[in-house]
Amino acid sequence: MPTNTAIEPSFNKDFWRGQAADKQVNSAESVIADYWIREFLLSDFLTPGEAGTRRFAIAVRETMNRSTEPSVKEDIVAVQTLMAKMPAQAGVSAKELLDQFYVPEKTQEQIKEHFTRAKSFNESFTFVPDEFAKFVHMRTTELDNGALLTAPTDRFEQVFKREPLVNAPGVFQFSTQGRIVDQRFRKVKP
Amino acid sequence: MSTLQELFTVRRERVLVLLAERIENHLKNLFSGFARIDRISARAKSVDRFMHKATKQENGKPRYGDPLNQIQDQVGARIVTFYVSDVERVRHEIEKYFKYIESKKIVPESESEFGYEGRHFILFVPTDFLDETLTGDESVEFFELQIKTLFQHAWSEAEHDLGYKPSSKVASDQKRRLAFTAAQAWGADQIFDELHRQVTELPVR
Repeated sequence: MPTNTAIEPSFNKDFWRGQAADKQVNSAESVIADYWIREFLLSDFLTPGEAGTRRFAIAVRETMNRSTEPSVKEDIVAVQTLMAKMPAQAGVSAKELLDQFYVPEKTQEQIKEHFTRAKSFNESFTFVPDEFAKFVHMRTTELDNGALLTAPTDRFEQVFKREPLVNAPGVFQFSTQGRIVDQRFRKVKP
Repeated sequence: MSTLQELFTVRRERVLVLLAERIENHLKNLFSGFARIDRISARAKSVDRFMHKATKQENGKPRYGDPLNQIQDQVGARIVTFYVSDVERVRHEIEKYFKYIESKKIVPESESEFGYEGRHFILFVPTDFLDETLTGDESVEFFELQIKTLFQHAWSEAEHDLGYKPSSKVASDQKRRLAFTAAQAWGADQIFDELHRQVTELPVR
């Protein structure tokens, strides 16, 4: 059950916003915690699950698209692969999600920079996997020979087989098989 | 000591205008690609309208004891949809991305009346838009969102322009004519929604 519930002093303005310290929300007794918070107090996280997940997913996507550091991009690919298989998770912040997967501090800092407000990085919400997937749906890898490899993020590793070339550090051979169903021109590289 | 009008004017310029712009952009982002949205807009309440509302009387007493904190539509947003069933689709989406303290479907009091209709929300301002440099007294916690069809929107705009208020004395004939136009807007909404469902093979209600 909640150990402490604090409500701001102004009845006119801050009556609706409070803080419930709940030490069971992530434990096996979460059903009891849910009862006290959601049914007894008729309360929920201030940021809805979809809104919190959307904000986090956009920050992850922007970091992937704008970072110039290959190691940061590799971290994000790994995180995305793990998160795609994760169930919904209540009461978690962006910081806690990244900590769960041991994402290095440097990568976390870059992701945090893409939050409109730094405090939101530590704000709790319910992680909604489907909402997250909307923003990181397609993955593109660009090679220095001009090739752009694009596939649904969750199947990229299966669609493109990647093998390192002997005697050429950092060079990979990609291969794939399939029938051609469409071809397109694009104006400029994104 | 500053007057209420001075305090609101400062808040409007420092906080509300920018907040309305952020909310409008956020709503436009959320609903980009969402079918049959005619327009999305948000505005900071004008000083005149705020003062008019803030000084209202009820049973001989001021209606608001603390208008700066009690009036919740200092920022108002509106989403206008094509059909009645779209209002419900938009409502569902809003409930996924915002917390609200009030959600009301506004309809005339009895089945034999026609007048203003729409879905109104009082929503929490998303935490991302809260300016941390402001004190609690300078900022607002809530904004109002109205979701209406094109016909509901058109009727309420024209009715508002004519200056009729629920409390004002309107001649019986004028009342009947206003109700007639509201009934026509209601009927058009019903028929367009039915046609839309038939064309898209959705079940007709």
